[in-house]
Amino acid sequence: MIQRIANFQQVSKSFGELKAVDNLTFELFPGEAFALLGHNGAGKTTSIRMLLGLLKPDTGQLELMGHDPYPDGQVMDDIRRKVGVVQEEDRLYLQMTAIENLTFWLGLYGFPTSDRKNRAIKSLQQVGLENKAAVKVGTFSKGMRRRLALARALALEPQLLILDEPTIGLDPEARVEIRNLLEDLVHQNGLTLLMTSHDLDEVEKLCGRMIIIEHGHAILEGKLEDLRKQGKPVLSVELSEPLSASVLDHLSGELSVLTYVDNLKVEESALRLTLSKQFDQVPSEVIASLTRLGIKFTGINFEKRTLEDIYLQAMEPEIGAANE
Amino acid sequence: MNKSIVKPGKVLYQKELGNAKSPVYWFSGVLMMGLMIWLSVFVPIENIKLMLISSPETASFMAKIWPQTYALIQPLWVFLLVWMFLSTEVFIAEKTDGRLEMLLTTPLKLKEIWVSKRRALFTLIYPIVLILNVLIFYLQNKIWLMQMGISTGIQPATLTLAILAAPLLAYSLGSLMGLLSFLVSNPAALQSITFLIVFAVGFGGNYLMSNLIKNASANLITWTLVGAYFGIALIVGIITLFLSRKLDKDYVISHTF
Repeated sequence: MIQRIANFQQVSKSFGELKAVDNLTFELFPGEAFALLGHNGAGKTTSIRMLLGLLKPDTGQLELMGHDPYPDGQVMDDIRRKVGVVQEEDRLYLQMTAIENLTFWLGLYGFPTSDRKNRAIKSLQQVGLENKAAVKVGTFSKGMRRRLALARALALEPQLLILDEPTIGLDPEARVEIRNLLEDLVHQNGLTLLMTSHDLDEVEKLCGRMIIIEHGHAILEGKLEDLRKQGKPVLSVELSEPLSASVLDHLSGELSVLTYVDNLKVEESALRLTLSKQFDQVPSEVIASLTRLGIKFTGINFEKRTLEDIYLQAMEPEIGAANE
Repeated sequence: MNKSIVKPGKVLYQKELGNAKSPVYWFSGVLMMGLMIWLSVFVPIENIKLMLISSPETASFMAKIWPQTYALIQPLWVFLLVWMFLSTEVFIAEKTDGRLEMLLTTPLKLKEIWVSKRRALFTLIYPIVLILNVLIFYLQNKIWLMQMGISTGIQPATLTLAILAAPLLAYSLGSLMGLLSFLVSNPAALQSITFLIVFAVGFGGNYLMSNLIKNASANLITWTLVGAYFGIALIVGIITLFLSRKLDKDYVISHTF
């Protein structure tokens, strides 16, 4: 039984003066969906390339299914047959048909001729391209090519699926279909998923754990549920009517006394209070202040932090530095 | 899965043989064949006919020397030119479009990719050169004899050069180019430069040939010359083998940006 599908331990990689990955440590466990997040050029693709054995780390220890992925050999050949890959670019043969593309790639993985066509048809069905099997890929739309690239990876029936921006170029319906398919594969078939995406909503729906990297090193890592609890909680007050300037002044004055209120933000029909510590329930002093000033509200709740909130907060020092 | 059933290198080789269906292959192959037959069989007829009237000895000399000048440059040139046309898709686009990287995520090794591709190109191009040689030597003998009563008297050294030595030299040069296209960061630029060189060799070679003929004996192609072709092919092969040690995934992927 493999303890970890992938294991990065203080891995670094430079290209000349550029440090692409800097002392990166993370693990990938069987059956989980894990996201690698960060800006363009943060080091995500280099990390994936090292994991696939395409690049050799300068320092650190890296394992894929218990083995160093860089040296070629029978062990890595067997491991590569268990790893499906969809890169950011589709990298298909445009002059070949969809099924020719798939059977060719399956051949490279050593699948016998008799098995290739069945696998290819099955994976085309999975991505909804079964009617396009005999059509040349050069005539496909970007979305169809993306789905075919996914079919190529799925045709292996992999244990690990590595997806670099899997739904880029897909229309909303196709995004939902692909996401549902991936969810099924992870939850029902025990597939391990490692993905990068700029679509944080998609990552939030698919991945239970993630790492955010910037300038090649990790700035945040953990389970989504744990990450939601980190950072400053935000209390949202839904107002029945807009506040006058004088009431707002009084409210600011009252809240400034409460040391745990870091910030008050006024929106058209809501107040957002950023608190400096976690509370199990809404602090009574806040409700008392609102009541005392005659502020009518329809609801008061802690906001559930989205992945976007977590990401942006993690990136704040980077964004700040960039703006300076 | 029975691992011994399919070798990935063979699958790639077979896929590259599919280039036989590509318009580029037929266009370049047929075009080069037609051009060579016209230049080496039909153009000389008029020249030799004129010489037959003024100087029958010179005409006989030209009839013997012409097939040799063909063998000296054209099989090499045709082989390399068709190689360049096909390698745009087989080697260059594979790297620039990122499919080389994708291929390396499979059990294929980098060296296997290079070997399979150059073997496939040889399999596709060598028959063109072989058929061209046969057609040219046959037509020169048949048509020239029929129209002018002149025999070319092709020597074994000429045949060996056209059929074996020149294609072998072209193959070793093409293999080196394929290897370099994996190693350099801008293979498209390399391809353009090589195209220019191949064209220059073809046209420059023809120009040099016309000067060479003036001082040549009737036996321009000797076994020493054939040996020199084999020798150069061997040297290029050794250089290629030395450079092939640089075929390292990290190096190639790092130089893809």
